[in-house]
Amino acid sequence: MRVIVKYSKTNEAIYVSHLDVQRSMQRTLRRSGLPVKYTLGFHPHIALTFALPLSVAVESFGEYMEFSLIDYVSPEIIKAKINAVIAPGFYAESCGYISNEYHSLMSSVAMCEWVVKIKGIPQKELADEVKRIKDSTELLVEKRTKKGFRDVEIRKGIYDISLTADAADTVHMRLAAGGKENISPKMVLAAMGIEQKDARITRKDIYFEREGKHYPLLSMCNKPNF
Amino acid sequence: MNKDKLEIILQTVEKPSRYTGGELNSVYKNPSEYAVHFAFCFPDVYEVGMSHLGTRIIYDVLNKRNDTFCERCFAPWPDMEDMIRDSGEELYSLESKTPLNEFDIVGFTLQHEMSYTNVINMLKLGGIPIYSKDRDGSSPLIIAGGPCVFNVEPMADFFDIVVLGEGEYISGTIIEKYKEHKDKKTSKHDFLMGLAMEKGIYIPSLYDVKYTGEKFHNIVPKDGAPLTAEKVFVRDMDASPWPEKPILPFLQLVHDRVTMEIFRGCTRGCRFCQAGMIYRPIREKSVETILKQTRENLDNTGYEEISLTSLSSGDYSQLKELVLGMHEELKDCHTSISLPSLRLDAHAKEYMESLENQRKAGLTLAPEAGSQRLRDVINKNVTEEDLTESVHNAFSNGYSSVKLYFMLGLPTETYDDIEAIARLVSMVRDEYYKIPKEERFGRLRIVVSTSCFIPKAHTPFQWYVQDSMDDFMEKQRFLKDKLKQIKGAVYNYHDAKVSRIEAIFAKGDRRLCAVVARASELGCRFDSWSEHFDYDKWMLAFKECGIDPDIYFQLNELDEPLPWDHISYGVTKKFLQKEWKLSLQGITTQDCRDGCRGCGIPDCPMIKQTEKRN
Repeated sequence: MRVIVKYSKTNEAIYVSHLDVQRSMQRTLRRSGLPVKYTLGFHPHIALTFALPLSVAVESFGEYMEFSLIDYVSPEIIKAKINAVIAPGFYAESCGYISNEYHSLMSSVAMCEWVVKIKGIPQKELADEVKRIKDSTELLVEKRTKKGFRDVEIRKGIYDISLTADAADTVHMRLAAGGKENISPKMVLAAMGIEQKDARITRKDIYFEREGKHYPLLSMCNKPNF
Repeated sequence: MNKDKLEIILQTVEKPSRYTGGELNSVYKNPSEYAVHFAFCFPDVYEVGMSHLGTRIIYDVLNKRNDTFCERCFAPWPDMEDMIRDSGEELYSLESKTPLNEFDIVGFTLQHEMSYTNVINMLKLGGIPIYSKDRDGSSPLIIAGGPCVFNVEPMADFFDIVVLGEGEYISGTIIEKYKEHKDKKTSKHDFLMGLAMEKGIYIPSLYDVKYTGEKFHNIVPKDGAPLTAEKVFVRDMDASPWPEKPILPFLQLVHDRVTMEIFRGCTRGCRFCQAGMIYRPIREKSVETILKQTRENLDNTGYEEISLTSLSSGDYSQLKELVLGMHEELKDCHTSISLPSLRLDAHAKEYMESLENQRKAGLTLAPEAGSQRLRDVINKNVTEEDLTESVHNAFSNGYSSVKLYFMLGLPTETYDDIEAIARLVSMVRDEYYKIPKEERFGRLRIVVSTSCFIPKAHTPFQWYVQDSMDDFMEKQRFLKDKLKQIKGAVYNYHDAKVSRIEAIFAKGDRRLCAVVARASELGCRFDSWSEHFDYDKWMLAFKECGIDPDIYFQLNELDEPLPWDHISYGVTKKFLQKEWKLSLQGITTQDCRDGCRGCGIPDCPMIKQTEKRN
């Protein structure tokens, strides 16, 4: 029985690296007492996968992990058992069972929703920059690769960018994510000429795509009704 | 630490979770509600410090008190050090981010000599004057503990209070006395004087050191301080405090598993081993306690591995019951058990078999010396047959990788003894090839490591003068040549320069405080990390302080006073002298479990056991 858990990563836990999150969650599940499924073989461990790594120093309210249970436990109890023992800074927001119709979380990822709080830039200037990005048709950003620096086009991967309605210093972005194309908010910030130290980045949610529409990964838990 | 500045720093440094705290089971209290605010400092990086059991025990003991808040602080890695300096802020505690200079008490654990410059660096980064004499009532009290304090003289000028022995025993007394001192507003000197009368406490400032020319002459107490400062230790390990909820770090530690201590002390009496002398007497935890604590620790951390630790785990008197009990307790919970510090003798086989279904990472054995003659000198009572049998069993049980540890430069060593190391390695190789080809596992790999022997204070070898660096390098070259001819053997050896500095401090005196301070100013830190160790800077520090390092490589007569004679951990100097003489004749001393050897440790269970037998 496949279970997905949507969790948040806040406060000092934002500095925990993806590798360390994986180990921490393994141990969280071990502490929880849930009937989790282990891998077979010589060194059994919990079969646990994650939707998408998150950069260090980035906060999130929409991280996902997947594991299997060998006995049914209600989603409310799964959530309660995890939150009773989870490491500080992490919190299981919701969880549920998903059917085998879905591929792995990781291969389903198509888009991420972000909010970026920006300090030290006049609001008018920020609004202009957001508009410039939105109105552009092509945006080249220098990206560091193994071979050196290379210009990449990111505009096509910016599905949406706007100032949030309630805070004029906060930019809301919907960016392509996953294997095919992956645009990080840092690349967009670079295009806007904003330094990383002036930005506070939060991932709000991760989406998959079905027939041209995006849905939060958590909606995999519902009966499919596309 | 300013929150905004810290946020920016943490975005820049490598492995920021070294500096955030916030791990599962870490303790958060409101500092203003506790009378005593204590910073426990480990003078190495987080991943090393959090692997240290003693740190976890003291953190737990102090935080279980309702009058104390104990926080942690580790040596910042050089990238973080630069950021802290540039920010104009001080080194801070992980939990409440309080600068070190705002604590009541700042404690350091001295695990090895090469961490000394980190202590100085942490004090400086924490905004605390490094010398005890320069700190008045407004500065925190600086305390030190750990194995190195049995010769703390090279660091004596920096500490106000030194704890001799086991901190869980004495920390309560220090906290109580400190509160009294604060309430009654007594002077620092009077407070320290009062503490000096307690067993387990050494106050370096209450002792005067005299020298005759270049040589140490003697050390005399002032103002009625005790002639010798004695160590304290826990008697009953079952009743001794144990952290049932250990901190679970996010970062992968050097030892990332439940560390379950099964006993303290060691009865073997290896003559080179300081731990085997200073942690006496032997005190075991019961199987019942170990199993209970294991269950709690696993439940509270989720660790997938548990390590049963002690100085020589094969010597645990109820080992069979323990291992069986462990298997019963841990079955079906996907947890593996490891037993480090197993000695190479007949017992080892049984435990290796019981651990058969475990991960087979490789077998580590420490014969320490190549020839039987030299093993008799150092009283490492294992024979070549023990070794042969151990590797034979290992190779037939699925191991193909063996690590062998030796020391170069042991007393009375000749090139024949070093050649014997190569012979021993060939023997290990032959054991592998004796196994029929189709039954062999993997590819043979024998990793041979040699360290440079460092004579330590409070051991029978404290009268031995360490080999010169040239001797070590010549011996390493010789062995390298010999091992080259053995297929499957890989040779690693320690840097003779690091070992020389370590040797100076291991048997050093108070004059070296100036050298440590100067070396720190010159930029020495993380000296145990080969990428940071800088021998030339150390030599410059000696030169600038006008101290010739060679004076620490002079022969001491058996009855000459030594700079650490006023520190007693129970074993008498007479016993050490006797052991030194026996070693030079190649005569071994048997395990105390076979009868008390009269080392002088009070209340040792082996005394009673011997009396009963006779």
